[in-house]
Amino acid sequence: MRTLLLVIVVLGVSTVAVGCGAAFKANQSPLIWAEMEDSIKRARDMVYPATVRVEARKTEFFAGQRKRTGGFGSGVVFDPQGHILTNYHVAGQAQELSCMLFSKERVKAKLVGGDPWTDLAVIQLDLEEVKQKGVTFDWAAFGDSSDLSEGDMVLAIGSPFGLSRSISRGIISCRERVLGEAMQLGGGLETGLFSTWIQTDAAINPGNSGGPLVNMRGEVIGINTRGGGNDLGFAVPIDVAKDVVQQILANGKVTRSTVGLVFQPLQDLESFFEVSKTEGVVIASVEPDSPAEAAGIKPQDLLLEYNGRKVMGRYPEDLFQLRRMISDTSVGTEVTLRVRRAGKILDVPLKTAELTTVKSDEVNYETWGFVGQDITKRLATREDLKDTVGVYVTGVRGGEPAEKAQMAHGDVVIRCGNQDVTDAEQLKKLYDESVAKKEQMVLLMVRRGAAVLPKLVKVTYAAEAAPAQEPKKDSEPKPPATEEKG
Amino acid sequence: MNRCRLALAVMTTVLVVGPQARADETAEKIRDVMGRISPSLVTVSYYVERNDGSKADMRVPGCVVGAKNLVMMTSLAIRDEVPIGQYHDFEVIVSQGAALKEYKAEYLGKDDTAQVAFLRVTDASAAELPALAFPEGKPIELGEPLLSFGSLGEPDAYKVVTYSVRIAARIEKPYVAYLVDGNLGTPGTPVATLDGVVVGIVGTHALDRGKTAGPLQFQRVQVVWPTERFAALLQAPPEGGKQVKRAWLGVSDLNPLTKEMATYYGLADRGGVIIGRVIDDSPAAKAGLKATDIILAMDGKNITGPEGQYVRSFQNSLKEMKIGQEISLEIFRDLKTQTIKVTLSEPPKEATEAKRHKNKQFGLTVREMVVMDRVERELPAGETGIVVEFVEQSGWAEDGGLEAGDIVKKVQDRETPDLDAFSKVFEEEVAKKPKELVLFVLRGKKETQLIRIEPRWDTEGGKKPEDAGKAKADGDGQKAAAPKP
Repeated sequence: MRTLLLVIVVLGVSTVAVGCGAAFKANQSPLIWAEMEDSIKRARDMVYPATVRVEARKTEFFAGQRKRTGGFGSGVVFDPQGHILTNYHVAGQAQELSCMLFSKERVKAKLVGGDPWTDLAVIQLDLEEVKQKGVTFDWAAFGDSSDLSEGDMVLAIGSPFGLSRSISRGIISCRERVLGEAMQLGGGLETGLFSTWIQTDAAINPGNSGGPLVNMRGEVIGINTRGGGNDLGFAVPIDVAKDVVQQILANGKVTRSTVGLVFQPLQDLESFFEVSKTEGVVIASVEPDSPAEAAGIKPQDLLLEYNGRKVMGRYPEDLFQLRRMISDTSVGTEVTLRVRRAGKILDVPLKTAELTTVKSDEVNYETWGFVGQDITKRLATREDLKDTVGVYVTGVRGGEPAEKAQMAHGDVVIRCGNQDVTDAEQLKKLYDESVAKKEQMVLLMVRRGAAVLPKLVKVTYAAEAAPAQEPKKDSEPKPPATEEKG
Repeated sequence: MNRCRLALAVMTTVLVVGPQARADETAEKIRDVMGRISPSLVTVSYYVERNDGSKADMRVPGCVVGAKNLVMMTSLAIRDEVPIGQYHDFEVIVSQGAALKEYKAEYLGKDDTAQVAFLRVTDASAAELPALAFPEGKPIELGEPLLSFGSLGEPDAYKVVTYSVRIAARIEKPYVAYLVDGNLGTPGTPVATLDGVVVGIVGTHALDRGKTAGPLQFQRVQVVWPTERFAALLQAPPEGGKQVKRAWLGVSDLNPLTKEMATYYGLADRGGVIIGRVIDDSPAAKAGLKATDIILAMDGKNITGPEGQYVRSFQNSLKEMKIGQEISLEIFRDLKTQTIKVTLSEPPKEATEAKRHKNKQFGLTVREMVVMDRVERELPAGETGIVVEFVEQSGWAEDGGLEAGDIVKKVQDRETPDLDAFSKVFEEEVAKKPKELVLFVLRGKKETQLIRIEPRWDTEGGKKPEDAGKAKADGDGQKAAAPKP
């Protein structure tokens, strides 16, 4: 449908341009169209040669089953060293990466670092291979997303549906779109807490992910991230991306601070708090075991200043800026929070803690039939877990001992036999010992909600089982029949 | 279908047994028993005001079981989701020939374990109705023919219906009950032999078909509850509209000690129940029981039976205990057995018994927090507040973003630790006709937030609450809920 419409528009333009030559001066529109076409082409030529198609392969666990999956997306080269900015959900967890350049040459790439919170990742072309193949690439310039306004014309460039490169055109529909805050990437990773979105009606479809959103000056002003229908596309503002890129290039990762506060916009609550419209933000909730809780901050306090900087959180849009201000603080910094409680001003000192994601490396307890991970602080907060001790079960393989013992995703293994379980690596040691001894029965205690349940895992070892001293080799997965290919 | 089967059965009987006389004799007996039992059969009528404000008229068959017109019916008709205060206008309908008489009645209470509820006719004009006798100890044999008695509906003037069945099996666990080979009619109605001896009532039972049946493992079937299940209640019926209280230990998330686990622990062939959770401040907690303790015996009696029944059989043994009774539990902990003595207590107040506060104008009903709220939501024992039970659709409270299940901790910054405090604070603040009412609530397990309710005093303030919904429709149709942090 969209294609059809575009064709009609283009046909319309050419008809006018050719057929109305005589009336050219009387009617300005052909000139405007021609100018527009020119500027689109100028912008295109500045970014098009820097846009790549990204192909990613990774191995991950689905329901405890190791699977190889493939995917593709888009990316934009932004420096002569071949660094490419793309989405975390495209490349952030990839073990193998390759890029198709403008010249249609394919070059290997490696992951430099990723940041699920903003859904961004930086990868780098294999410059050796570039040199060997004698190919060239171009790079695009980052613009400024702070001075955008609704109505600005923009181009979305990328490889929608894995097709070769294409451009779609639109305008900025909204420069500060707030989407739901409980957004997740694959594997339960949270995203979108630290930035608003640029909304555009330029077509953004699967495969466009990671591609650049470009202004008429040919500068990258956003990274196309979400879309797919009804002329609604969403891009991460480039100003957010610039910070992320800088950190990833310097440290290979993005580190953020947290103090453990959940905010609520002040909007309409000024009279309740007896404050002016531009003063402070409501602290709705204080996360358990957080720096703020330890420092005695209470829900329903009004945060006025963060480390000497005035805080204003009247609208939902403001909260993203505010969260970013806190998360940008270096981890472990002593900061002072000025709050108002029952009409009194309090200055509360505290030390920020590192913000983790819900994910940590998954460990495969192959013979027992489940996969688990360490409990990060964030996971404990999100899933209301008692503490960070134990192993969080992320997948249970069908038909295997753990499933037969009715273990399930979300269980926390806290005891194995007569030993307390502290983390995934320690449980792996106990597991390796058990497998080496060919223990036929292992009693695991798991916490599910507030209950502790015994799970008797029964393992049958074949008489001529492979030597248990090399469990890694032993546990190498057979590729499942349903392998997905990108 | 049933009629066909019955006809077929009758035909077969005629063909096989031969003499027409035999069939007539059975029919005669049935008519005779029906005639004797009918005068004690009644229909209980009442209406329920559901939590969403809608009303439902109910008609439930029952029977007179004691002096001063004591009436018994199934407890399945009194649902725990709806507080008993929302059951209104209990009446007992007596069908005497073509004439129907309706007498005012009082609800006395119920016992979900025995599956019976009791009422008493309070109407002074009511004559003493004949009570059914429930003799205990009458053995029920396999294959024995039985009759059960229900009634038709209002259009048929509550005429008595008789069902004829035979005992097909005796169920032992968790309680003794009898499976029959046909339809028994409605739960709570009496069951008698062909000699007219009442042996029990119709009940329901979750038939365990084994784990292989998957989600269909438990099939609800009709059974005959023998008189022993509820005999004690006939002598001492409950009072004050309450559930009969059973002794409480305070453990939950129980799992059977499977044969394999017993072997693993070196407990050989012993049965047991593994405690998953001990509820704060319960008798179990006070006695020092812990999650993962394994109960092997109670008062010297081992836990036996098929392992799938360990938990139910333990729970049923507990129900037989008295409130205040001390029991000794043999438990297995840290690879050793030990004995722990526990004094059972009265169970904590249930949500249905909790006091409530309703404000129709704001479209909300709240109730006091009970122990089970803390248990289910894993809240610390010291957590206070009141629970939002119901918010009316498009009412003021719902438009402000309040949700059922929220725990209100403050109203206009004034603490509401319990229902009395809430009622006082809420009504005092509402009386000021404020432009906004700000509630501080706990949602889920840990997350708190402020909810701002904007009363529509000018458009709906003077009208009856019934009109509120209508006024809403043409007013601010799309008022967003308070943004969530």
